[in-house]
Amino acid sequence: MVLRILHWVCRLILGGIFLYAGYTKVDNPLQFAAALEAYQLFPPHVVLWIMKGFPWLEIGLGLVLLLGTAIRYTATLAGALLLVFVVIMLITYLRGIEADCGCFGVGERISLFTLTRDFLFILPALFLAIQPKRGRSRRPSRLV
Amino acid sequence: MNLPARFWILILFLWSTAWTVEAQTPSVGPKDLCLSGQPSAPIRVDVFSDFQCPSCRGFYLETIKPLIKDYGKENKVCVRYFDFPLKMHKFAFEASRYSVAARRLGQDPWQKVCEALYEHQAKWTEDGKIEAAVADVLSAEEMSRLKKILKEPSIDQMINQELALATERQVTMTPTLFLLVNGREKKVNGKISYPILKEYLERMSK
Repeated sequence: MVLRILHWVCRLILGGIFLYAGYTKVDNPLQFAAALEAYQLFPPHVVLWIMKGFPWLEIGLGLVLLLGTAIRYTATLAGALLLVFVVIMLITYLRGIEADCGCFGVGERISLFTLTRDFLFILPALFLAIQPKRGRSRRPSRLV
Repeated sequence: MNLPARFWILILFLWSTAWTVEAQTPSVGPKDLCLSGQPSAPIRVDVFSDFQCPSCRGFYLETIKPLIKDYGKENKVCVRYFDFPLKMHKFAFEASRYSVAARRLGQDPWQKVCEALYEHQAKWTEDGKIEAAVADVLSAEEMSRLKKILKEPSIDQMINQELALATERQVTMTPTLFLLVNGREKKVNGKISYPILKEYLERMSK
């Protein structure tokens, strides 16, 4: 029962995060592009591709997580993406570059808070990847 | 009162009015004058910028300058520049004074002054000689008018008004942009390269 509730909570949190993150980027793609450019990691044409395609990936992931389809795979992908974000943000932070996180729109600088927060988002993804089913107990089959 | 007295009073009144008009050039805020294009343009780009900020320099020279070149004459985009001199930049306020004063000379001299300030940023940031940076791009007559305008107290007032506007619009860094396209305004913190901005504007204006 507890596992089932935890499963639902993790799906809602993770799905909600990705949906919202994708929405803010679709709503203001230039802010997302500005954040990517501030990282000084990608050339403009790559930033353009990411700006156009990535928000829809986030929205798609968010929807699939909320629907509960192929949870292990979507959660693994979500966790991997989050890990990549955290690593990129950490590199930018350690390089001393002042940049917006670009996670949820305008005005969020990369800081220890945003790094910690985004790292913690990986936890529900990890849980769902390890515990993809909704906590159903497996009873041994009885031979009649 | 006899006629000669009335005549001289009228002359005195007209003379004092003319003197007042001559002493103050009309204030031209960035809302009245676009750095490029006209206020009637369908797309508006408001930029809060600091002339001593290296990111602002890069943004102006690499993004705004080509934007002005490609879209300014066709009046597709109105670029409005608001001064937001940061306190940590020693000469930023003074540089803003030159920009605000140049607005009163017209769009073309204002563009030239902005470009000169950004082009020679490294130099005047070191030695504080802003006038020298600007003198090369203006004619002798324009420079003379600019120096007169710089003495007016309304210059500093205008900059302070723009600082207050920045606070109102929650501007906390430079450059900060506000893009108004199809009636929707979006805020962007930081600079964007021209290919990305161009692609976005082309897509939004269809």
